[in-house]
Amino acid sequence: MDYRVTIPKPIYADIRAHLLRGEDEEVALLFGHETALTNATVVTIQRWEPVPPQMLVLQRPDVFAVDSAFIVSRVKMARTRNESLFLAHSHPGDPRTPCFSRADDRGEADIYPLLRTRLPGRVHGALVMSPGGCTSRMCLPNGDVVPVDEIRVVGRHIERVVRSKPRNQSDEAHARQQLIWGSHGQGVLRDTTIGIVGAGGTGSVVAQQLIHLGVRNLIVVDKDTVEESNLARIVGARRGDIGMTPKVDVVSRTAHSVDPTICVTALHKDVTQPDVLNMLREADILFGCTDQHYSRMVLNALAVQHVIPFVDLGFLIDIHPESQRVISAVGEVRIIVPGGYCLSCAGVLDAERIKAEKASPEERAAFPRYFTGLDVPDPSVITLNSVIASLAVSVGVDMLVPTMRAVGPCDSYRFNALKGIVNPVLKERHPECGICGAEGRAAFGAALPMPR
Amino acid sequence: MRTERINKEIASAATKYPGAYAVDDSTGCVHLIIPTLPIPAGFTATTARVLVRIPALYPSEKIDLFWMDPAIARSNGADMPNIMSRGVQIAGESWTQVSWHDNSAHDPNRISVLGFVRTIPQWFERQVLGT
Repeated sequence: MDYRVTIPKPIYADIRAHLLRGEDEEVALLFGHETALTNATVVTIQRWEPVPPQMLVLQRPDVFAVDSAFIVSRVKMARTRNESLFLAHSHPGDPRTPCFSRADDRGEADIYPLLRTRLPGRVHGALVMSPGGCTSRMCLPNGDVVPVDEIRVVGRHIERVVRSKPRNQSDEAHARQQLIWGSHGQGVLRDTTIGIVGAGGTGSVVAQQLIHLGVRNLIVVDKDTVEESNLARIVGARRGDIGMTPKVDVVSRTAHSVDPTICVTALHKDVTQPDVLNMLREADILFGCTDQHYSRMVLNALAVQHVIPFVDLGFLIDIHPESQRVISAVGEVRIIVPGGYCLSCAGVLDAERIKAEKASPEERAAFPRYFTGLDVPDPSVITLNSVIASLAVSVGVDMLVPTMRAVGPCDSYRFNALKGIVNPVLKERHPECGICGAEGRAAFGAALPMPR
Repeated sequence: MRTERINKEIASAATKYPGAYAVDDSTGCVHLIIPTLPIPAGFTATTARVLVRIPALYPSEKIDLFWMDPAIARSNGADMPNIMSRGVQIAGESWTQVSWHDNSAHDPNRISVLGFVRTIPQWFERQVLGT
């Protein structure tokens, strides 16, 4: 079992600025929510609060003590909000990655019984930060205290502030790309789990590229089976698959033809099913390769809730109804990460289409005038899909192994096929967004119901 | 557990319509029940007990339809055409499901539960006017 703390980048930056602001030890309380994955316990930090100077009964460069009444008041708050609580403090004079001191051990030995009594059944913990790094440990509901294997800071890039396992990977198959990101970068790709929702025109290309890049763990979701019209777009699809083979199995076959040991979890299901969403929480990055707005909405919420970077991609080709000429052909890669916008506040999601896609067959039959145009196929071609898929995979790889930082801040790329240009686009986030804003779902983990 | 946004919107509704309360369902939706929503003249009561379903992923998803107390009827006995179904069981009660769609452009950054509730009396007006 691994133990992980995930912190949205904006929160981490604020905590760090507070804890390392002076020569004395500073203290903060971090509030989060626990999610139990198959092989990991994850606490996502949802909010934090600095301990104000007047609540520090002792504050020196090597020691601190917090007014117990302050702690108790915050524990009460955490109880009403079903939160886990982490006590964070600094070792401002330590240039190395910090270790918990004996004074820290004693302080935590006092506070953990209180947390376990007042906030039972939850994981709590402590975190110590120095200019040289960060260390954390968790107190499990049974009282065991365990070191945290990974502190993951998620923003435009995924930073592993703490990572105990060696990640280097060097092999001849990936030698040329290792010249770009080194054996460490290749190791990061190898150990990453990527979720791909939609295994059609864009998803199959995304999967193919990730497979060749050396990603060894894929979760692929698509409820459809290969149709004849898919042969022109789905990488790896064969005539014999028509009407027989689920699209996810085509991805699986492609992966195993490159490397039989790649682990592909192929889910021939609807992404909005709870068991599928549960599985997707295991992913380090999600790729949304679906043209359904309902699926996009659910993925957007899942990503925001569980602090999983989400790369949404799509292509829209408009054809003039009379002249049959292409009026516009625009693809977009949207990057949903903490501190940025989400598909909801950016106005990407179409509420009417969501309503129609969500409706049962019975509802559609009963009220046909509300549910028109759902089964009209959109124009699509593998050449343009591949451009946008390549861009999306580049973005995803850059999150793990930063190689594109020279591009600067950018949270969306738009490819205009008629003009032959790719533009980076900055999108404005809405601070009061009901999904990614302060009062929305951000970093609530399993504390909120699974979105669907 | 609900988002802070939904909790605040329910609190606003309870302030505007005393007695309003919310019930969560197993799919993550929240049912807001307003016991006494003032309705126009022309019905067997001056207020109606109504239920509004706040979708699990509100405000990405828009609020659609509402449900009302089955006892509400036109005072002249006339039919109400925009009824989708009767005897719908929600939150342990029987409701009449009403066809009432907000056709305005959906802006998740601007919509509110109260905004939707304020449109409900318009449905009752339309039943009286026969439109």
